[in-house]
Amino acid sequence: MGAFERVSAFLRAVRRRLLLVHLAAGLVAAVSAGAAVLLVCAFAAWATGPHAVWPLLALGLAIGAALLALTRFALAPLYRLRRTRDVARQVGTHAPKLSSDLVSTVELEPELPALAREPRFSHELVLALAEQTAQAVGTLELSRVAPTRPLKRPLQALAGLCAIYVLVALTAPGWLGRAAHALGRRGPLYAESSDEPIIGDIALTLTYPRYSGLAPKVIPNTSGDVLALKGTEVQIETRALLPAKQATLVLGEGDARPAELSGGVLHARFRVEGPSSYRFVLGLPGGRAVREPIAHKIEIDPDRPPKVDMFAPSEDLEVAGPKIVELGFAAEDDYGLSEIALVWQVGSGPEQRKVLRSGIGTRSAQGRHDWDLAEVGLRAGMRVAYRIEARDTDNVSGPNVGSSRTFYLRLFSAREKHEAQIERQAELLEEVLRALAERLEAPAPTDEQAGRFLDALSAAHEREQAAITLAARLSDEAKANPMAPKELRPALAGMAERLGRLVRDEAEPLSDAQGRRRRGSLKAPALARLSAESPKHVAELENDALKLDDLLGRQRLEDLAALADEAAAAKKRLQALLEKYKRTRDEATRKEIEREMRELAQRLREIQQKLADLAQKHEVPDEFLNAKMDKNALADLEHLEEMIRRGDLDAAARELEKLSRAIDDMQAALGDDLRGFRDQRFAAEQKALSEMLDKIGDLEHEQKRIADDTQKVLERQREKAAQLMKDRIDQFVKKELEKVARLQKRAHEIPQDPLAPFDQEELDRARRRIEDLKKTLDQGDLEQALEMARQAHGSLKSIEDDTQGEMGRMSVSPRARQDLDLATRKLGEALPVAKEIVDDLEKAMPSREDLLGGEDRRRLQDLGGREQALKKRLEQLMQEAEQKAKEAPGIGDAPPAMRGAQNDMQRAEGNLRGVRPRDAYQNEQQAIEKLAELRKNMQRQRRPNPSGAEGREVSTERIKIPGADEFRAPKEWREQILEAAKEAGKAPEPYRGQVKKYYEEIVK
Amino acid sequence: MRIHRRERGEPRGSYGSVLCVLCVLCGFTTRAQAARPEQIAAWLEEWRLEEAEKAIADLEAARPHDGGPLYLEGNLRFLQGDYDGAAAKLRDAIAHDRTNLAWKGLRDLVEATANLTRSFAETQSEHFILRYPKGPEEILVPYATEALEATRAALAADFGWAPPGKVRVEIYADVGDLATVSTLTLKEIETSGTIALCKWNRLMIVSPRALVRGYSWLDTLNHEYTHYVVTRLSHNAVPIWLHEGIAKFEEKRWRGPAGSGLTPMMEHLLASALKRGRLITFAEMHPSMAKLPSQEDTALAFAEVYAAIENIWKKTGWAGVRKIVERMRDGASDTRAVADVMGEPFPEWEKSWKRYLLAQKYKLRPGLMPHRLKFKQGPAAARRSSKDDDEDTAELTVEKARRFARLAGLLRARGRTAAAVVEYEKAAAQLPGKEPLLQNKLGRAYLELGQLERAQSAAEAALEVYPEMPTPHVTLAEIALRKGDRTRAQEHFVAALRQNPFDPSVHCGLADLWRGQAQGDRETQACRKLVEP
Repeated sequence: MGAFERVSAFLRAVRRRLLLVHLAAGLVAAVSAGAAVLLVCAFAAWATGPHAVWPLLALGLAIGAALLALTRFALAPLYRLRRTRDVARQVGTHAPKLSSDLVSTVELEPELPALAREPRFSHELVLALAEQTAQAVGTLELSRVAPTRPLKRPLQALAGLCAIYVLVALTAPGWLGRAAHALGRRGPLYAESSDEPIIGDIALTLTYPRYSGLAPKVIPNTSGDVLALKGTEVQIETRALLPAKQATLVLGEGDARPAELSGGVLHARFRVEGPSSYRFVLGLPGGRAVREPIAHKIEIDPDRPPKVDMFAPSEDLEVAGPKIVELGFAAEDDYGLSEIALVWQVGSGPEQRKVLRSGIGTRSAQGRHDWDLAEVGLRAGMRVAYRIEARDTDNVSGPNVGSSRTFYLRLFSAREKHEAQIERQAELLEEVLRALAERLEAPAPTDEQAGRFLDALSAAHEREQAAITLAARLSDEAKANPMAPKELRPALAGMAERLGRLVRDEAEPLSDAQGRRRRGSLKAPALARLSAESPKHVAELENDALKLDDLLGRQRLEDLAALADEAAAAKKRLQALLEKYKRTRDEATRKEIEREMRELAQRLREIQQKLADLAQKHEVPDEFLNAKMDKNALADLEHLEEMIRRGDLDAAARELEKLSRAIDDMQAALGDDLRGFRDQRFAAEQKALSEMLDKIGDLEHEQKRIADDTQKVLERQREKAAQLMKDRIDQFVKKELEKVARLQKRAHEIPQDPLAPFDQEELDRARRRIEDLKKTLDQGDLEQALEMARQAHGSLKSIEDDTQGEMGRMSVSPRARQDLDLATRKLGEALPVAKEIVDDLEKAMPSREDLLGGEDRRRLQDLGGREQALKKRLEQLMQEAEQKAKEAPGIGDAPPAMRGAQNDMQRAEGNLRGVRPRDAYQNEQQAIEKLAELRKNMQRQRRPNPSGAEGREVSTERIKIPGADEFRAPKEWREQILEAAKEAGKAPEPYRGQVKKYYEEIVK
Repeated sequence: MRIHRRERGEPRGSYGSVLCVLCVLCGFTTRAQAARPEQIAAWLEEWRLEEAEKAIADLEAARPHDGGPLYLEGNLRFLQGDYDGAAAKLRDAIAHDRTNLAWKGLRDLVEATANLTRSFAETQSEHFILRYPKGPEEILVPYATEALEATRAALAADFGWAPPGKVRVEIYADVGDLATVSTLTLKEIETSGTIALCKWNRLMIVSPRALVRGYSWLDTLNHEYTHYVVTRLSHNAVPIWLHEGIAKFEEKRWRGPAGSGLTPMMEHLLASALKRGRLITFAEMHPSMAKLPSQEDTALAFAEVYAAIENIWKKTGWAGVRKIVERMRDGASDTRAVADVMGEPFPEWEKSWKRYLLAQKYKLRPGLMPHRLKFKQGPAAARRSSKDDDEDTAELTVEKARRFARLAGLLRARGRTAAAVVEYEKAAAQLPGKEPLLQNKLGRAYLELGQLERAQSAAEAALEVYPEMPTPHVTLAEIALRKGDRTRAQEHFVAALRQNPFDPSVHCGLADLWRGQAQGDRETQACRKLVEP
């Protein structure tokens, strides 16, 4: 290392040391200055009281002082040592002998390159000076040339300040804390916290949000804590315990608002927006402010979401087409319901909502909804999640939403299931035929052939066992299959039963023969019993095979016919849609048309496929397979689509007409095929059904004639009544119509939602009857009007009884009780009016003697006789139907339906003989309806039941909630349960608890 | 089995001869220089077209503004086979008299015929013009022309006369077409079993493809041609009984001697009628065999007239028969003509004929029922072949037999032939006689099991009573082939061909048998055509 380098290194070391010393001095001085300023400010704040300006002022001054001190003790000295020459001079001050050489060495070092080019003086001399200086500084100690003296004064200042702090802390304990608190508090609560209460006698007035329907609530002498719904207005009244000049209410930590102070009483108000606290600050004379030491709590009373229950036929429902599913719901909210909606989601698609009720307002609501699955657009195999959602009336935070459990439904294709069952029936047929073949092909049971004979019979026996199991299972499945023919189930069950018996009888000799064979002693005589039994099996298997073959063929054809029906229905819908589209040209209709066309194409393809399959499988004789699908039908459908897309709707209509004819032809041909097949293979059943239909038709016709004659008597009666009341009827009707209007108004005021579903229906019924009453009165038909008035009154009375019974239930919530109260009150207003109208009409009506002359009375007696004879004929027909049910199981359904008609006939007869033609007429009409319905049902049995099809023909069939009417149980039933529950107390001691619990569960 | 109906003598429908004459008479009055219209109408009725044609031309010249001559010309052209020309003339005639329903009736028929046959193919042989729908029916042409030419030659020998020019023969694809070109309804055709007609100067026949098991279509062609010859020869003067008798007697003439015997069914019917003493009189046969009260009566009537001609023929030979026809052409009544030829009054001849019947000792076959022709209907028809597998057993008259036969069919379809045989035998045991359908099924089942003797016995039993059934012939041909008897196999295949030429197995079998021969090529082609349509 050269001399210059050694000098430079020395000077760098000096500078480093000086830097540290001055920085340390600057920092100590800054801390001391800041602490001193804060102390002064704290004293000032303590002296003047907390103020919002203090924290900032104190902080600003302290930082300022610190910066000044830092500049003075660190930055300024360091600035002076910024050059090497300055450092050399600084060293020179502490080593004066060396001062000149050192400075010269430092200054000459930059001249060295110039000296090399232009030797103004001796280079060697410079080097020698440098060498000398380097040697001299090498002997110097750093602490001597860079002392720590600059730290002395700052440290002294810091020590002095610390001494002051210690002194203050010792002499005035807590003062430092209070002063710091006074200095640091910002915002409205800068006021001094009081050590004792500053207000007393707090009274709160809570005004709840309007949607809650709650009345304002006054809470005197309270701690001041608030528990209220969000949005509640809180009014505080309290007394100041200090002589305050002014008062402030501080919400939370920063929201200060002036409180009204008058005569020492404070009034303040706020609105509850969320969990928080509040306290008062009193301004005291002299400028001091004190605040309550502990804040009062503000807590939210939550508005809970509604509680919703849904009732559906099943949690996981399988439906066989776009049917109507009955849903029940009950929702309850703590303050009020606004809307109830059905929410569903198909697969993973978007949720869809359908509002079932809106603007409810009451706390509870119940109801039923018939959910038409057609609107869901279900396809076979789709799974739909659905639930009931209820919203409350909370318009402060937004409505709370409650939801029932999620239920699921899935569309299954009844036809697919049916087809699967048919396939299994075909398997059964195969099994039966195999068993039959084994027996028929068995050799004669001679000694030589004994083994082969036994093998054949064993194989047949096993097949029969398999067939029995399959037949029994299919019989069970047929029960739940609406598309299965009536005779299928008994046929399968009978087959299983008969074959089962034969197989059981055969088991023992078979086992015996097999044992002998194992022992090697099987001879012909041992097979005698088996040989004798086998023909019975053969006969049974033969019958079974033919029956199954018949049923299979029939079901295949019925299946096809059902498909053709669906195609025809789709075609009809398509025609209607096309007409609509021609008128409206709206996009939605066009899309619907496309959907229908896809449906139709699907059906046609299925038919095509099935026809081809049937022709190939020979399950149906060729002569019954004359229906054909127009080979151009599908192409026509494509043309049609193209025409619609092009907007050529007239051409589309013509194309559709062409297609329509092809479908109609096919449908008719399939119908003919099916008819022909049935006539050949099910001749007895067809004959029995036809005869039964004819006889029912005859009865229906005769009943119509009796009803016509009864109606004539009624007309004469009405004319007579009008004649008798000729002079006063107008005035009477006018007066009664006013009452009816009053009744109508009151009936409409009855809230429907709190009522049980069946009462809701009853209320609807009552309203309709009141409407009818108005009409019949208007027409002057007093007798009919009286009937309507009685029915309306009866309905209202029944609702009232029921509602009162409901109120008595323990499990009704207080909120629901309030709703029911209102309903009962309104019912109480409507009922007397209804009763009055009934009384008026009863008084006004002419007596029966006045209305019916002797001739009509005789006629009614005659009609009673005819009705009796008709009833007898029906009885005979019922017996006949029961007898024929074996050969034609479809007839088996007739007797129950006939019994209904028979009861109507019985009542009609009684009413005719009792000279009550109006009642008799109604009974007669009911009997006619029942007979007509029965006839239609029986006719329908000749065609397959397409209700299980997945076609979109909207079925009006409802899938009901099991025991739907009991989901709020009828009054009588509830009473029985309660009575029984009371009796539970009399149960033997060991069981009393369990019995009681059982009834409690039921009541729940 | 009755397979055709002679329409001669039936009411003529809307344009029957009487009406025609009246209509023509109403249309115009005669003139000295032209033939009288009623004469022309009679010539047309007698198919004497040459005379009628000249007379009509004269009449048209004489009465250019009348509709009557136009109507007659339309009728003439219709009989000549010019349907479009006939329709045009008839329309012109109707333009002169729009109220004439008879003319309109003929116009409708002619137009329908023209529309149906416009697309027909045509093949001509030396003496015949065959018109037929293009397609499957083409297969019939060589067999039909061969048989017709053979018939013509045979009948020319028997009657000493053959019609001049070419005779038109039309083949229709189904019975619906026959209804279209005739005055018969579809229902009448199906009920009566009418399958062919000789009318309007042409032969009309339904293709055997239209029937489930075909029918004796070549014999029927021959039968109708005989009617044609007798009509032309007699100037349409022969009554129904004689007409049908001669046609029935000559039915198989194209392939053998005349009067080749009664079928077992006809024998049975005659035997039972004789036993009852209740024959159908000739008078009862008028105006049409098809009008008899039952199919059994119709079949009996055919058997009777066959036997009557047989009786005459045996006593007088063809000369006698020919003489009767000629006598009637010359104006004699049937009774007079027969009496003259037989040398005894007609009632006497009737008695001797009945004695002849009794002397034949016809065999009674209890349980035998006339088989109805079974027409194919709907798309099912297209799927049917003559294979016995396709024949259902619904035709069996005894319920139990039907059930066993169905079971047998179910088992056989599943390859359980041995079990099926048991069921077929049970079915057969339920029947009083041999049911050919069932016997054939049984035969085929035995054949599948390789039991040739039993198979042959069953199939022969089927033919014993119904020799015209094609399926047992096919079965027997296959049995003969298995036994190596090519001659028997050929006989049976040919017999089956006469009934159902649309059965590919028949042509394929013959193609094998006739390989290397000219006929073999034809059969090979037919076989290919039917197997690979």
